[in-house]
Amino acid sequence: MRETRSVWILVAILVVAGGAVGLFTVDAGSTSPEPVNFDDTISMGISLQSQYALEDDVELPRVQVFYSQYRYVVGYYGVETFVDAQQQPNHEQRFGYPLAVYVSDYSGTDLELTDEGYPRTDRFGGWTNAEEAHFVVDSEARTPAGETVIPFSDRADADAFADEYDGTVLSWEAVLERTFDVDTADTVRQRVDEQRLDADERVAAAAELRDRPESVVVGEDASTIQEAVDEAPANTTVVVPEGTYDENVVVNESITLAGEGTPTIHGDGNGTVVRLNADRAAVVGFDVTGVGNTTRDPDAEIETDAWDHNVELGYGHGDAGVAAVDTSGVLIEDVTIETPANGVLLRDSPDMVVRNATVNGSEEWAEGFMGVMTMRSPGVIENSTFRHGRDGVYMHRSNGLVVRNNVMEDGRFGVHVMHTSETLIADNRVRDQELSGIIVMTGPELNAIVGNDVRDTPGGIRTAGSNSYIAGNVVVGNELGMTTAAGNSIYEHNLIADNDVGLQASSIVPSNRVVGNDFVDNDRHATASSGPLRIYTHDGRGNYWEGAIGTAEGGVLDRSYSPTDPVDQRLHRVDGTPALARSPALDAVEGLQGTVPGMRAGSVVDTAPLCEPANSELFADTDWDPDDYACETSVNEETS
Amino acid sequence: MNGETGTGTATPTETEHETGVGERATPSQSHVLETIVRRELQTVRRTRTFLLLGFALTVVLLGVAWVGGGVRGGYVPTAVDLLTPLELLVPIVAVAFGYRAVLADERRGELDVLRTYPVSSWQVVGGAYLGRAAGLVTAVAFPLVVVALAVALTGTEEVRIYATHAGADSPILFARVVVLTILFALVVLAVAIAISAVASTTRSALALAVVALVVVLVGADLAIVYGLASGFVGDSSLVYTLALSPISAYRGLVLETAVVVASGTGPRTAAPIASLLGLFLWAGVSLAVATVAVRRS
Repeated sequence: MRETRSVWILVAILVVAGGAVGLFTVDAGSTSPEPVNFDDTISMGISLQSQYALEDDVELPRVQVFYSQYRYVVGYYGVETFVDAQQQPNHEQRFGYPLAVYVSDYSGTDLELTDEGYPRTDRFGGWTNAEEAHFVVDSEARTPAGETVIPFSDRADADAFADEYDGTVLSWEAVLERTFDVDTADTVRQRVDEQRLDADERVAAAAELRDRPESVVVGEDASTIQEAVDEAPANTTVVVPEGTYDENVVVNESITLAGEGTPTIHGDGNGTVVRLNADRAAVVGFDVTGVGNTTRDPDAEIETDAWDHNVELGYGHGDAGVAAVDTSGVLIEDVTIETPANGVLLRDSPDMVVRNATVNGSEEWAEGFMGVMTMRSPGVIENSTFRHGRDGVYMHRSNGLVVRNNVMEDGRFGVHVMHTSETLIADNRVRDQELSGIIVMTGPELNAIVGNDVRDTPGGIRTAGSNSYIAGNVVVGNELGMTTAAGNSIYEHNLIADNDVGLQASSIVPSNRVVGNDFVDNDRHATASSGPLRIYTHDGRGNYWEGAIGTAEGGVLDRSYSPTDPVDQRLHRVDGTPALARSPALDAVEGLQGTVPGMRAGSVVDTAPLCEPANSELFADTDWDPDDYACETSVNEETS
Repeated sequence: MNGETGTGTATPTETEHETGVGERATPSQSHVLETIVRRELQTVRRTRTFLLLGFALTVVLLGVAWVGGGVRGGYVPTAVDLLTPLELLVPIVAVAFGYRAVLADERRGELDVLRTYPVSSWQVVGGAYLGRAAGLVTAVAFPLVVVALAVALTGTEEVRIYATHAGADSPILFARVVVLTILFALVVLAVAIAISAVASTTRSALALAVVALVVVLVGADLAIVYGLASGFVGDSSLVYTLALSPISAYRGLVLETAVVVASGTGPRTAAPIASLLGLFLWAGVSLAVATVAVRRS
């Protein structure tokens, strides 16, 4: 009996030991998930605007990736977008390694290229495992973002395509090693100065319109402005002496309408007061009143098959002080507009310049409309003031628009970005908006928001889209200072002070670089919405967080700071927290928290907080003195 | 720990009578061992402090996993959160379980009683070790199983509109941590048993226990760092030298087999075979020392 029992005990021990050893021999990481519907992935690599504009039978190459430590399936438009992403530093640290990668399969899809080089197919060819696929590079194939790689499951199809469209067939390993010219937030950062210079040039070119020879003087050569405008030959100036003119004016010729001593054009309270219908027309030096109050014209003639016809119907056909439609290179300068609808309306009028304008809208934003409404009309809007009304500047599909040095006060949004990529929104002063200072919607990309000063709004700078550059902004006294909803983006050198919540980590993809920002005197420096742990450190440097503790070396504190941690978040406000935060128990718990960040839920960690503000020049126009936060001071306080 | 309850009159003879196999003049070796193990188990069961220890460990580990957010992240983040606390707490618990095991018998004269029977010193040590080990394994495994259940029952925070997958997270990886933690605990227990055999008074046992903890928790690692800094340990041999420090061997094994699997590539965190050998070496040498000490006393 004893022997039997001993045997049983021995067997039990062997089974347990065998099981324990077995745990280490099974491959725990080898789950290969099946591809999912691409619409269910978190996708990147194309703006909504470009996506909507594609013809139905265009089938862009796509990739879906299952990462080892990121719970969401990530989708990429363009194989090159994924390749570039996985070559970025920190990519593997944030996402882990790819457990499985699937690419669109073009084998058997009757593939041909459109005139733009976009792949056109008769159907979606399904997903194929990237490791077994064949890739055609350097061909004529394109996406809206540029050169693209076309994957095939069948080698013969890849060869045939490569022959026809002048490409080379590569394996997955070889594709992963290639570098592609993909536009990222870094591209935007490098572009900002150039874009400023381009805007200067555009403004200089527009300024020439002010020097056109005088041809007609109202009151001398003609009795009304309209009469004068109709008489004036192209490329001349119509002079309007001081006074009030009760009329609505239509300019159908490329002329400059110039006020002397700021005359007033007073419309009849219906429709637009000054309408420009000719290229390089200009309006300079007027007060404009008597604007109609229609903000939306239900009878407007709009192509209903355009994907954005509803947007155009809703925003593109209201009344305005000055409107330009189907023109290019117009100038609107030194005008002051009182309006219950739009101040300036620009539709299909690229290369326009609006400068030194003042628009006073309705006291109640819901009753008014846009300071400048620009639809498919990139150009420059600068040195202007927008008070009350709905949005200071509203833009739709105006890629490359520059909005700079303006003042926006008491509206709903200061700057409202819709379906517009590659903009430069710079050095604007935004105050007291009903909802938000600068707001980006609809997933655009490659936008730059730099040097703005946004205060006293519920949401200071709200971003969206991807590959954007948000830098050098001063965000003070807002309920929520800034969001990081734009992914793959750089948020750097901003001063975020005295907000209820300084920054909200809102992008679900941990792909943003948030460094060199100064967080001062916010109730909460940062919060995190859903998504994984974000590490706000790059190349060994993070942000300045008032209250962060630790020993400084090389300007960086040796202790991590987590604005979402219950103790750390109170460090700058609550007595006793600096002692509690130094508890070895907390250190023990937090020691390895940066490992597998992609598997952790909503939090923010800066592993190398700065010991003093990085942007002391931004403090100039605020109530704070950067010297109060300098390294020495904080160290002394800690040691005294 | 001072509440450790001796088994008093539970000498082998009586136990044998209780189990009704006392007729044999010379009990078999495995029988002797089993009897001693049983006696130890009784001690462990009767010592409330051990129960309290297990309970405290459960609360602490659950708390750490919760505060650290690992529970809401998955098995691997939880393992990462628990790793440092486990490194610190498991040796303490293990030492508490074992540092007076043999000593208590000796102090109460039970060792002398035992010596009147044909019991060899390895049986005394092995029995004490296995008996205490059973208690320790329970005390260490139970909290970890509770934490694993918490992870399983806590939904991860996610946005429903997107497709999700588990990634490289898996309960298997957590189970590996549990196994390695048990192994680590058993190694430290062996050290503690050696202390209990070497020490002659409770006070010296306590002092030795503290010394052992300092060596295991800090000393061995600092020695390796010193070796690395002074050039005594070469870069290429570091990963093997780590195996000599039980705490580093344990940490390396956990990182290598449970964490790196999920996070991706990088420098190797451990040489698993060397680390395992290192741990076995510590356990083996400690038990040998204990056996020699019992024989000599």
